[in-house]
Amino acid sequence: MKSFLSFLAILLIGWGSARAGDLGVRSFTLKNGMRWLVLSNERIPVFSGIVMVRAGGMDETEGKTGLAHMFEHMAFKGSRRLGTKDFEKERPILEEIARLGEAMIAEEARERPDRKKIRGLRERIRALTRRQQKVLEKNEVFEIMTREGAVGFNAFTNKDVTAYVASMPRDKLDVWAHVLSEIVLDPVMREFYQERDVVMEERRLRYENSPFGSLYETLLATAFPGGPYHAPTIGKPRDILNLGLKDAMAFHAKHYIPGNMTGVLVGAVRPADAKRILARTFGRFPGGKEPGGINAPSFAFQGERRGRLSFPAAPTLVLGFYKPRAPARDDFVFDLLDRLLCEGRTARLYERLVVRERLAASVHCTTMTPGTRADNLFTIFAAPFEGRSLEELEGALEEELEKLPRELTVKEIRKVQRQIVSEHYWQLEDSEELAESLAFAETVLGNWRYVKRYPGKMKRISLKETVRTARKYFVKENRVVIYRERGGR
Amino acid sequence: MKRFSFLPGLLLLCAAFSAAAWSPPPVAKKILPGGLRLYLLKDAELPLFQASLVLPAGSAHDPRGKGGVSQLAAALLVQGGTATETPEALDRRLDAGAIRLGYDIGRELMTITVSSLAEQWREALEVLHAVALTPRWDAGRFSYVLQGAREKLIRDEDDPETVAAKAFQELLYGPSHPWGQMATLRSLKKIGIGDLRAFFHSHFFAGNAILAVAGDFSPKAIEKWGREFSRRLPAGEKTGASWPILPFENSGRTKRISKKVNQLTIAAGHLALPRESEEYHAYTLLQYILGGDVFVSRLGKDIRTSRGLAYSVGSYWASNPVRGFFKIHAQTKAGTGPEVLRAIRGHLRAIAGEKPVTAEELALAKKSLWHQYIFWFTSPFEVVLMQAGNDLTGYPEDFLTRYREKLEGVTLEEVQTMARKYIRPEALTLVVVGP
Repeated sequence: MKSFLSFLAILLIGWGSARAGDLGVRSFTLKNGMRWLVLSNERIPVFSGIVMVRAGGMDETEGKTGLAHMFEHMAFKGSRRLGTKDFEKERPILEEIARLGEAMIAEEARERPDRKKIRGLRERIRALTRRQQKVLEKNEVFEIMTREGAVGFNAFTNKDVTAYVASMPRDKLDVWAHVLSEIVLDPVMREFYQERDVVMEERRLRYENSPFGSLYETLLATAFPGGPYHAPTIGKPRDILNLGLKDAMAFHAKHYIPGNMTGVLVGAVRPADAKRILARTFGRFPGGKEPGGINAPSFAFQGERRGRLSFPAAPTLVLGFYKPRAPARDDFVFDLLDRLLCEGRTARLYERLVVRERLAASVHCTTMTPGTRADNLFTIFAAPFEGRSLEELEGALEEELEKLPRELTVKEIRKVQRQIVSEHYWQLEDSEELAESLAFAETVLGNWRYVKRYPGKMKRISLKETVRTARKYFVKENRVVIYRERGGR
Repeated sequence: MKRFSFLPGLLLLCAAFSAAAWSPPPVAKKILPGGLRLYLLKDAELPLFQASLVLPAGSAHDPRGKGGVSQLAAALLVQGGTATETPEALDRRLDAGAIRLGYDIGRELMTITVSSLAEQWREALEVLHAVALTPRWDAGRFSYVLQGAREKLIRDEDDPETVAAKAFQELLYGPSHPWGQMATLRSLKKIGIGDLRAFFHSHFFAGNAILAVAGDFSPKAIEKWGREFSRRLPAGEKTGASWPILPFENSGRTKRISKKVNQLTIAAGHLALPRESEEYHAYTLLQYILGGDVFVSRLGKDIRTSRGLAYSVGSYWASNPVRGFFKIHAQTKAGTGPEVLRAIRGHLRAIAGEKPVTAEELALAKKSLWHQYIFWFTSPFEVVLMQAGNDLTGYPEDFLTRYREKLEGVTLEEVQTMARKYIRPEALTLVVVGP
């Protein structure tokens, strides 16, 4: 829970007493349940805005991984009003495509699929899509946003959430709100089957042909033999090609409920204007029943898990340790451990393994892999220098983790606490990052004010507590180890 | 903690302007006795401080056959300790004080940066002072940065995009040209600590550097410090490094690099304009229309959105003093490589004359770039570095302030002329990495 919480925490350190209450954040809820946060800063005539939906890879079902991520791609295809010349003409074509798509998926799922039939269905979908093109205003969403001055118009998905972002000139809040409300709350899944091909290319780029991506995918599969963390958010190839229009619509209906999302505006925005505009745009859409929580199975302390993969690249390993998610106390301690081990010139692993012994060429830690809505992993990625082995590197890492409880000093902890203070002032510079972090706290943890407790909690972490946490979690039976060795795939 | 009136989000030096009347925050520039230039951009919004020494000492200045010298020199300067402090002692002091010391190296510039909380500005500057005047040239740390550079080159080979980009650069300019020379395992073998010292001594002097400072500080105090620093730096004139401008000649070489992956990485392009060109803005608009944004550009709309052949596809152009280049990149599965290549060539032929840029395309591109401009200035730390970098690399002095005006002034005819003059589909330098 490192990055966004801790920097927001810094808002409190040195805060003037006048505005101590809400950090200048104005919050309100629309009639349909959607939460909004507005942070005004009139110094530059632009604002950054984000809409974050509590719908991510976590919420998918077995066999349909990659569905949440498809929404990232679908966002730019438009809505019933945007991206089409006449939705009434388009609707029957879309329905036919949906029907053929289901038939194609059903055929693919058979024991012995009829390839000819599938090709035929594909061709019919293609022909219908060509007909559909005539009724479309392709790229209308992007062209409107670009023409009206949007910068950084994008969307992203992870295990926890899906978010839609754009920064715009100050007088374009109504355009921003209109377009974003349309694509988030009333998307039309145009060119869905084609877009799966684009996603497959993205998979090739980010996972199959990526040394890091392939290691990451194996880490997830090994650490989480089942449950929502088993596959990366982009999805497994078979699943992606198994996704249908109807799946997407059902997912949207279930998860894209106004009460299940948060919007944040940071910059040249007047809260009164924002309220008015947001009620008129996002407020148009009815509320609904919010989806329930996810039960994620635990794999902690069940014995060491090991995995190997072969890849045409220099070797790397990852060590993962299961840990509780925020807001557990141990999650805070892990933020501290992360820095003690990996951040800065005198971080333990860096100083010993990289600089002094020249065993590792790089060491890198993370604290909430792959997500935050369920218990997750603390990971250490390490790459050996040429000529040194993964076994040697693993041995040294194990040794350092074992020594840590005995050798850790108060001075080190103070050093890290100072680093946290410094680093997070730097993070405040970026309004897009700020908006995203506020949204994440509100959407995932239920309350952006949660962050108020963060600096206090980090400061109160003692040596004793850090030692206890390290001793408890850095043990073999709570560990996952993956080796990526050089070789053919 | 000193006074901190929190106004989060975007930091900008100027008072509130409406969108139409907005202009970039001014950087205060001064030449100090001794020749060091001092650039200041004060912003007390957050209690932060950053100072950078910026010099024309990037990899284009590497000695022939010794690609990597500038990068290693910068790395050793920030990690190798000083005359009075061992590398280990300096590391401990920096971490204990949460002071960051780092470097950036590009073709043209080397930047050494120190940053801290505002109240520690003196200590931060003292570090910069020691590193710039009395580096230690520690043999142990040299061997460490050399090993790190070697390892990075080895692992570069694992990433098809990096492989393609490097091969493209080398193929386009030639391996011995300052813009085509790369650090290689072979060149690293030839580099000794003496090369780094020599590089340092021939570049680190007062008249060759800009000290760029941003954040919460007292301009008076910084200027006082800067004068002292300037006096201590070795004297000398700006390095007269200049390279002859290359003619606009494209020989169209192709290179195929085999890799066991299931996706092809394509880099295609050729030479463009030299930096000091009146046609800069027209060409920038042309390239933006061709491939600047994956959703509104010709390349993106066709190859990704319409045909689903690529997730990542686009183009950009980079200027430099000799002659810049433009490059189209795309990744597609092995089977659809030929189709993507055909599409790329088709788009180049189209924009070069068969289907020239339209008034509508130009209007949208102008709007887009006009709006993006304001976002170059959201951070005073970036603004001061941008100004320093521009001034050291031959950009006109009013480049930033007149950017929008010049953009607006470009006519449709000018853009179409650019395309006819400067797009050569039959003379593409092409690199394909994959199976």
